[in-house]
Amino acid sequence: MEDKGCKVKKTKRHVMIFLTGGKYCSVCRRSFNEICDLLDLISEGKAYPGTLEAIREQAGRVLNMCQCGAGKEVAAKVIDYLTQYKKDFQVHIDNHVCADAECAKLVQAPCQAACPAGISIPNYIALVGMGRYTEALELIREDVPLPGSLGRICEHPCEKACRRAAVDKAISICALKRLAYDKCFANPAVPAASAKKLYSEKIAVVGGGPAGLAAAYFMARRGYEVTIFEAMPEPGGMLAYGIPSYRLPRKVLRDEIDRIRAMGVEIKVNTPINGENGIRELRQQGYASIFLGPGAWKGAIPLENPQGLKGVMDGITFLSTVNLKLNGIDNRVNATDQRDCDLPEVADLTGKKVIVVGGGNVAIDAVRVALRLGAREARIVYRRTREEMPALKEEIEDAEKEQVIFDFLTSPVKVWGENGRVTHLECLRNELSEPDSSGRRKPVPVENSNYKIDADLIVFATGQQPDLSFLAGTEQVQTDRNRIVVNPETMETTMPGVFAGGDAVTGPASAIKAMAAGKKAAAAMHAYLRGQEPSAGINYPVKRESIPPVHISAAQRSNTSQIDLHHLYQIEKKDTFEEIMLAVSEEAAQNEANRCLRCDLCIACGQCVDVCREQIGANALELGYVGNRDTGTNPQTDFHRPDDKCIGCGTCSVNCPTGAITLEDTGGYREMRMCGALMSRLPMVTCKNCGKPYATAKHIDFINEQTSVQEICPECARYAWSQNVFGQRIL
Amino acid sequence: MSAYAIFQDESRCISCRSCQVQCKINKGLSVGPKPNQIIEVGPVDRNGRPKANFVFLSCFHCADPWCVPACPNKAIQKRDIDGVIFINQNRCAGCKSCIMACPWSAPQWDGQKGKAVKCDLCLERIDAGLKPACVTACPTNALTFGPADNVPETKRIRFAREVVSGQDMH
Repeated sequence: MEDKGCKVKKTKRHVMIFLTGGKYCSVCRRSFNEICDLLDLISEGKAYPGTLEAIREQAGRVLNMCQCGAGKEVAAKVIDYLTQYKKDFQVHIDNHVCADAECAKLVQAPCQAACPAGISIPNYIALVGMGRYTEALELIREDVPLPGSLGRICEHPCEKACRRAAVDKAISICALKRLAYDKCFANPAVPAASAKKLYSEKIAVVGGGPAGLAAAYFMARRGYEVTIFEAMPEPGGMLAYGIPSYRLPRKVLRDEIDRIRAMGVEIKVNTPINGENGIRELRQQGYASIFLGPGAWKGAIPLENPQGLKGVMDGITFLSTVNLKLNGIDNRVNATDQRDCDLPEVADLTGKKVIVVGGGNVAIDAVRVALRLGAREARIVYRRTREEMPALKEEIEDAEKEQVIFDFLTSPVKVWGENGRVTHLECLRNELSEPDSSGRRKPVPVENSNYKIDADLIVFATGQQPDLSFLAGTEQVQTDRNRIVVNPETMETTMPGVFAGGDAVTGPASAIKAMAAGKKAAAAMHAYLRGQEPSAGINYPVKRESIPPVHISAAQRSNTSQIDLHHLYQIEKKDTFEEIMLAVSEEAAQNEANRCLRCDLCIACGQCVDVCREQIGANALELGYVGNRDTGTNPQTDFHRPDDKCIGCGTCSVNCPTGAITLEDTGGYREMRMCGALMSRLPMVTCKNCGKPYATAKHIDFINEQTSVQEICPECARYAWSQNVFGQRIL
Repeated sequence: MSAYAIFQDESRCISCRSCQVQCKINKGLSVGPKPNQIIEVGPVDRNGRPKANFVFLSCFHCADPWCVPACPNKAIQKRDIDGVIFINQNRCAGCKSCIMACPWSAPQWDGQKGKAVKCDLCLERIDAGLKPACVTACPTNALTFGPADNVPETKRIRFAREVVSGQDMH
């Protein structure tokens, strides 16, 4: 129980209790007041790296020089807290994040907290809305290396966390990220700059997928010389070989990887690291630290294929083969590569029937690729229902548009074939069981419901495994159940100086998660090479300074989304490998940015509502737009009420802990804004003496209900009095 | 009126503003709010010489105050025992209604804390038998604090000084 809540606040409470007690000497008074100020700096996110040392120094002064004796105990406790809760303090100072959400200015927006890489989402949305695409892109690149690719293929957990979803629909964050990249890609305003080399150490990165690229990118940014060793002919990992080009055009990916090259990162393709001496050799070549991001490239075929029938393959083999073929790179390293088999057949599926088994994104990709290769019939066989499919909802919808046949509640049992080729797949019908203890409904096979589906090609997209055979000679790197074992705090493997991340550590996951792992590993690598402890902050996003919100009307804030993915889908391109989704229009993006509730500013603490209702009695505010979706009621968006009831006193803005509510007097009117959206605009009264507007007419009326108010502004009041008394010009 | 008053002997005041500074220190205020203030009036011609008046002004602790009813949250109150008007900082929400209502702008805006502050004759100090902070800080003894009934007495003392020195202090 002791460890609940924010530790900075806890330390401050401890000191404040002592100070309010009022029995202390001058040394204690000075030092503890100083400590309080420093702790306040930390909770406001204004602290500098030496703040903790300064607090220690002050506490040390008390221990040495206190004359009252009462302060020593408290000072010892402060030092004790600093040591015990070092991590919490570090996160506050390095990331400007309060993990317990007690320091108002350091509360993260839900979207940023949900993003594995912790991109500063509200800020870049605001920048995109203003049309400042270059700055938006720079901001995104602070946290991830490949914004353009992510804007197309990211599974956007941020949108699931978006508070706006409680009102109408979540902000289309991913589409806005893509627009920022597309605008800059069309006219590269910022040329790729080479990074400054600050350190002599060389870094080796094994695997040029999202994790490896991120690790290389962040190490290069820190000033290291980085070399990526990529086994395939083209870097990009699963982005290049798993994801088809209609989702992620190759020119986008290549452009972004070229930017990383331009930073000074060397990418050696066709250079697999394997065998006895792979990692040891890298060590001997003088690489001070190594990052392993080999990914998960081993597909699994769950059914036996004893006769070695042709036309049975796993999803990743299928996709990578097609990608290799289509992207014109055919200088593969290893002619006996498994990818060779079926290559000619796979490239052209005209008139064939294709079955894809599985329900994830790989399955959907495979089935849509099969259609584009001319398949007569492409179907997905999945053992649960559509609701349980792990694939992105948009992808499933697009597949349905493209006439993919879905067989739900169907499990494959056996592969049948003749003359060495597959002819059909035997399946079982399932039905969902009653919910078990965890509330999940498992598919249960129905007896004797076997039936056969004709097929010329069966693709099993039912899970992938990392291929860790290259670690065979390096016992120091521990693996467990076919995953590389890492310290979750630092991404370091059991071999000192060797770090790992991405699918090889987590199992198959998303691109953004892999990039987050690479970023985290880079931070830990840097600390390792500099001989420091990695900061606890590497596990948290960095809350950056909020971009001041644009002034908009309440109507603009409450607009519904203009972004509809169905309008962006180009049905005429459904048979080609060209990009199938359009970018959103600038107008729609601006509208979308205006819809953003700016949760980095407004943390929905409700203090404004409290003071307005309980203390002032105006009852103008209500945080109605943070509704509860579980109740099923449509929460009222309460944007119009302030206008009637607001008296323009400004109490809400005074009490707002983050400065989300602003009060501005312009042109004889007082404007109250919530994160930039106008709540009320009230006419002001001018001072009889100096002619300046000093309060709203409504506020004066509000006071006049109880008493009578002067007609001069507070600044003039005293002077007016002395003028009356002395009849003098006032200095 | 409150039972107490701070009386300023203008002839002694040198406008050093120690009272202002000490008041802010005692209340822990930042730049901006001035619960008490020295207002400079003049200079005017006195017997052929220029003379500036320095007027000390804080709160009058009115018998029938305007600020008290103006407060929507009853943060600003008048004490029954001695009539001192004070702001309960825990209740103040920062709506500035009292500031608008007072014709002498005795309640002042403290932007750092987002609350109104005003002279409350240093309640804690007078309850503990001390003088208000401004009075203790005055280097020329121009400020005197005491029951309001004593003010005429103080004025008589000053008049006597004027007679003795032969100067018109005003």
